[in-house]
Amino acid sequence: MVEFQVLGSATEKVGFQEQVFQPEEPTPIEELLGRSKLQEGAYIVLIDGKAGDLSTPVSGDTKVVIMPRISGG
Amino acid sequence: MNLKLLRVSLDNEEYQTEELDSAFTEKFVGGRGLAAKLIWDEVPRGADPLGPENKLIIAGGPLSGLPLPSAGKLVIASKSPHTLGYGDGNIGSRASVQLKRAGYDAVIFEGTSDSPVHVHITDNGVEFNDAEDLWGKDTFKKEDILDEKVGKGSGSLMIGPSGENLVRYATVMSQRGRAGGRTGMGAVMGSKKLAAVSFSGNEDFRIQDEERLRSLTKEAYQQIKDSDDYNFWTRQGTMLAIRLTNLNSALPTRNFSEGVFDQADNLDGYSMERVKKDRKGCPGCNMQCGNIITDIEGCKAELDYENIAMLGPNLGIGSLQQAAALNRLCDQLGLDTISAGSSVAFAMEAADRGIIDESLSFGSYEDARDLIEDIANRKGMGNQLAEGVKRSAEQWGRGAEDWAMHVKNLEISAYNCHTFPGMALAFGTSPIGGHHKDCWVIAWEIENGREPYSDEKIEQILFHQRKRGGAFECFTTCRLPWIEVDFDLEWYQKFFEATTGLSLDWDDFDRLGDRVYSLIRSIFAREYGERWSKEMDVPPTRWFEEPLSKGDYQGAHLDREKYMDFLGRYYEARGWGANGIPTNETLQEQGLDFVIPELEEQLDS
Repeated sequence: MVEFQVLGSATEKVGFQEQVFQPEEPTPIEELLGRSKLQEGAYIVLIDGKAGDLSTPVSGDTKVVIMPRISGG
Repeated sequence: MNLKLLRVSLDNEEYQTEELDSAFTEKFVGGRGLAAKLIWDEVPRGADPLGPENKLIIAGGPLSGLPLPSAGKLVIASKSPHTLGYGDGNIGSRASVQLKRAGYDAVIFEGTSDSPVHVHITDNGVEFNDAEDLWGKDTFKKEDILDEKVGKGSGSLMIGPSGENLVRYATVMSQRGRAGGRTGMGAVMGSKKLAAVSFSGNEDFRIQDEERLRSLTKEAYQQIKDSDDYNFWTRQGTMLAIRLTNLNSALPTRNFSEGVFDQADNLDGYSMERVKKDRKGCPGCNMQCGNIITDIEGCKAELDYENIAMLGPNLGIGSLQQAAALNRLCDQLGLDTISAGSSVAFAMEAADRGIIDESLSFGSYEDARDLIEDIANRKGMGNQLAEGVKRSAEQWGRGAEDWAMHVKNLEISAYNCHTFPGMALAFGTSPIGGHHKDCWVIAWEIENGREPYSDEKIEQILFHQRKRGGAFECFTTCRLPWIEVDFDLEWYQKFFEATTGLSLDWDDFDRLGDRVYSLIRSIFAREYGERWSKEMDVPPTRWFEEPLSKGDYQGAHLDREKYMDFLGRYYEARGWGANGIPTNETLQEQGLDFVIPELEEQLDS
């Protein structure tokens, strides 16, 4: 079960804030989200707390966070 | 382009104009650069910040007030009564436009008035008006009175009761909720009995190439609007950061003891969107960041991340409408929301630990509200907290200094750094004390690694300090479009050239940032003399010795030994000595030779 949490403007592109996927095999994040929805490098992608990217395959019990680069309040 | 200054004496109600030549503009540009140079030159070592020798500077930069993106800002600077070093803050207000319309780039207030005064600066001269009718009133009432007196199109800056009562973190306010100068610039105004200053006029903006600027501006506004991130920004503004910081253990919770808050969802950007009534922002801005909601008392309140984080989670309060009411109350009283949130949290923890005999509880809106009013009016416990957390900790003892959350006396803004050494260093080396405006590297640390105390991280900090704390503060413009909607830095170079006729590039602006940082550091060194030490750049003990007990980073804390080494490498990268003061060689390289004679005994070779 891959749990997604999406923050900021990325939510408008992927259409959700939180969602669970159950890929049968390791699948790139961008494929789970639907190709081309997010521009590579435009967001921070964390996979179980560590930096990854949209092409990283995910499966099993994994937590993915996609967040914008902001400059603070 | 020459800078046009107005010098106003409050002692004898006289004024004169002065000009600084183009060479000065090239070296210090305006805003913070101009203010720091004036304070170095004109405020003598050891001057009482709340006495007549101190000066209050309201400084625009070459871009401020012009009809271009995010330029509706002014810098307000002085020797700070809170940090006792250089202090400033920027404020978004119509005053930025009207200062230019009155024909000036900056105003220097000198001396002290015998009685409350309202100074009205126009293109026809300066009026000194009795302000007994303003004194004692909150900033919302003052705004109404000033609108009647000088017209709604004017731009007014004013203080509330906090400034009048010399609270060390009193701010300057404008337009019911616009605030600036958390280093106690409101108290400096109060000490001068300057209740308010208004600007109005019809002078043309001084722009070298108007046609080019107009064309650039049109394109720039459109580019911001076309950004992929624009729509979400207009929905939430900085309030997005509540969810982001909570998710990453950076949300200040219960006096920064934790980085996650179990009621954060109640206060985040989505909760705010459900009750949002309107937006508000600086003149000329098309990505306004102020979110208006109705607070728990039925009043309109303007919110952003810092206010809600410090007056919500940091006080254990999980109601957006309650935090909003505390924010609005601070605005009315002219009290800095960050320092107020930190001071109230500090008192709540002290009460919890039995250090003070007060009935105060985390999570109590009523306790927070009453204490904020008492701080502004210097009543009871509020009189002590009006001095800030550092001085209160010294008064109370019993280890309270360890969890007094400040750097150089200035209460730290809304990011818990138990797991962010880079951001802790950014707070430690912020030129005005514990503030985030010059540098925010939390997102970078999340992406590139929290743990390392690396040289790469130091480079990131310098990168941001040069741009945000240097160029943007001197221009004087807001940095939000740059990162939030990916508005390229080259735009500012083009705006600058079209406005001033000066062809400076970002290498020049980075050197400007370094020069201004060294000058501000020199002001601190001059003021503190033998009392200056590297320890002044070290964040509070809590982050080093009290690990997080909740969230994904349970047990995490900073490492003091590594931090001190990190700080030393930062000094080296800046060309500062082991004591954190620029070296003789650096001062010469940066064109700050004039500083050397006064600091000679403190300088490393």
